[in-house]
Amino acid sequence: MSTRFPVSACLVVMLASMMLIGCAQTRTGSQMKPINNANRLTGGEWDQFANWMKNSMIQSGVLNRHQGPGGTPVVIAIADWDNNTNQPVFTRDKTVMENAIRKTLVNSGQAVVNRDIGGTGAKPDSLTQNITSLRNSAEYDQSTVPPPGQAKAPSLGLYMQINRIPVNQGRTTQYDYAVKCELIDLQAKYTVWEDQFLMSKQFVRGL
Amino acid sequence: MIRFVLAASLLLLPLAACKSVNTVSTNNPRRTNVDYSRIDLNPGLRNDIRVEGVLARDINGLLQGQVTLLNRSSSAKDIQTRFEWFSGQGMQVDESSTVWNTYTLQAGEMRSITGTAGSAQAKDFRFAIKPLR
Repeated sequence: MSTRFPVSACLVVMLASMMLIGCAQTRTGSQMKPINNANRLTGGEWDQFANWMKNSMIQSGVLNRHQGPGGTPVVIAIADWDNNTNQPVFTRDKTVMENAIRKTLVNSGQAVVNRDIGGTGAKPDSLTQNITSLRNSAEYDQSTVPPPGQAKAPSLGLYMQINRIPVNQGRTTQYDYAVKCELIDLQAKYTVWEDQFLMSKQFVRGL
Repeated sequence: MIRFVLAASLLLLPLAACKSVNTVSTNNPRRTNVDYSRIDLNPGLRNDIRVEGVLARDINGLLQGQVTLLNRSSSAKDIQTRFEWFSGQGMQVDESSTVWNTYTLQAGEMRSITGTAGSAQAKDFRFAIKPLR
């Protein structure tokens, strides 16, 4: 009894494989089509939240009011991040919004961001912390090592929060995303600016 | 004499045509303080989206632009917009802020879209509008 696979079956498998390979494609530039997912926020959507926050923050004049002597930039630290959703990935993705807000504040000269300390939403830079270990090291020219007492403590903390409210109707689920930011006066321990923006997305389940 | 009249008519016709093209709206000076040359509207949206106003101001040392759009059509429109910022010498600055943001304008809806430059060097802007799909 022949154990060889029928030729026709081999051809069918080959054709099916070629079709599957043909379906896979990479799109870039103008070939890209908009895609979305109601369960997630895209990078563009996080950036859109950042734009709204930046507009609100700068319009309020809060940074001008908290400038240092002689109009020096405000020292801000990243405070807590509250992810009140069941999507842990938002904790990583929110950096898109945080980065957009921070770069505007810093590059415009309105603020500087302390990278040494922060709340749960911050990831302090290890070098800013480790560099103090160079003090008294025989390996380094001590005149080039940052002396103690030079860092300025932050005066404002940037707090961020996301909430998601699911609403179901039939096969449709709507997610209302509410993203909030606050600037907290770290000396007085109250908020001096806050704002919240909403974005809704829907998912329709198939039959 | 007839030739003179014809020549004068030919000269006057283009001027009459120019009068009907409103490149700088003065209908609502409350919403407009810069000219519309800063607006880059996708040709596919020209029948549906109208620019109602363009404003610019210095807000705490940063340039802020605001463009008011009207959806003139009878259906909702999904659009994307972005601000581009330029220095006083015309060089683009704050390029990383040049990101397309998505909006849905319902039929008949008027909405103001605001952008704030991320660089104190920004002295001018361009606002682009395109369909989402």
